[in-house]
Amino acid sequence: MTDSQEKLIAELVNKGLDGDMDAVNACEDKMTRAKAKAMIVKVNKGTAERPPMPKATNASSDGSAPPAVVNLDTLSKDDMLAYLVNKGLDGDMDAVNACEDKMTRAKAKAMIVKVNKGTAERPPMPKAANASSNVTDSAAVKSTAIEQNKDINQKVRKMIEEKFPGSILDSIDSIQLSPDKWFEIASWLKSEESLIFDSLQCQMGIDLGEDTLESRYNLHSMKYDHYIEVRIAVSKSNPKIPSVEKIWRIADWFERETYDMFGIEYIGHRDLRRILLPDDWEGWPLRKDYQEQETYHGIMVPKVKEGWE
Amino acid sequence: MGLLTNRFQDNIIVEKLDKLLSWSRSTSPWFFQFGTACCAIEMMAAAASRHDMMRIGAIPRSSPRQADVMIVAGTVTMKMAIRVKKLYEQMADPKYVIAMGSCATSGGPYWQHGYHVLKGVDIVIPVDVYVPGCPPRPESLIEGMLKLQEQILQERPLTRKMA
Repeated sequence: MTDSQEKLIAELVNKGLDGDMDAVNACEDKMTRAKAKAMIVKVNKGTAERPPMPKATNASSDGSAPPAVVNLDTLSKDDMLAYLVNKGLDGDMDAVNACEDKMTRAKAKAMIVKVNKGTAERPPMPKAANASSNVTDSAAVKSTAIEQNKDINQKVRKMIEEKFPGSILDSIDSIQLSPDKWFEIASWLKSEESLIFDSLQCQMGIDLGEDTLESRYNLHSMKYDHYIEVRIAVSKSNPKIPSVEKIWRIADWFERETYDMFGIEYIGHRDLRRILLPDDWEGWPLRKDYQEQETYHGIMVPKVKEGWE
Repeated sequence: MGLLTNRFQDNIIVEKLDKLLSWSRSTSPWFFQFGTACCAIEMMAAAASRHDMMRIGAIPRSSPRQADVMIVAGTVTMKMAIRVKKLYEQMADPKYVIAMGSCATSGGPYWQHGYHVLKGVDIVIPVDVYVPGCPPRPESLIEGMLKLQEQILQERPLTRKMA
């Protein structure tokens, strides 16, 4: 008897014993049907044990109904907790870890430990969540952050396009600006009521090869907790970008470093000097076409010792 | 010796002034307390109570004028090389240099591609002892210091060198 046939028989026996004889009769394989019926009789007599319901078929029978998508946000906190505990006990710890509410997550984890120890009872699965399909809900929870970010990107792009037409350059998900009105846009981004990007988290430079240097700004709003990245590309022959050092004071050293390494000039910066290398250093070291100088104050810069390798 | 015989007890030693000088120099190699990178942490450990470099006479001094030995502890960048040279020039003779760690001896991990790192401090100042390691353990540094002491002990500062 094959494995699948065995499973089928077990399923039919269970259904038959639960009163659903139609399912048994509907079975097309004569042998299987007969075996199932014989087993049902035996179980009823008590001469055989009821076989366990096979797992895979269990899910498939439920899956025949259209999978209802459960919005986790609609669950109350207690339901959410019960749902996560059930998920975790069934082995899906990812769902628990993906929970964004720290308190609920901690409570769920504590409860799982207790249930495993036997000091607490397993809570019933909340109804709304029970109906959910086996499609991982954790993925949905995870992707919300990314979705949110895309939304804010699109929103900011649209707002800039309305306010400063022509500043947005062609690009798909990032905010690519032309350097012309960057100072105005930056101060607007910081003060606009619905955005309030009050924190410049990072500013960096990139050499994109060819003739392009890029300056990138990672902005964060402490009020709304959303992030965007602004990119400004300039050519190597004329690398000039308005400085935002007066808007976000932290940009002072960020821009100095980018200037030091890439030679991007930040117009309007009040103290634009090299920050790491000596003032009289030649060239911009992190550019891809950088050639180090021969000597610095009479000291050889490239390696001069021979025979060490 | 006849004059001095039996005039004093056993608490007097007769030695050449030349040797006495080099002995006293070798047993008090006061080193210049400055670090250029992470090796300085090991130098501090060597000077602190567990390894206690002071027991061999090496006392950290914060001024180049009071120091006999310069321990170049760490990466020397081009920007720092000029300063290191200046500090070395400010030290009074006789002066010695220990290059501590890979960076100070050869440029270390910046050997091939570090455009901003001096490929060994011996390019700008003369080095007496090289201590390898990245960073060397305090024991290594003490070993280096003992080697330097041996070297100083061989010197005869008053003897005229044969040309």
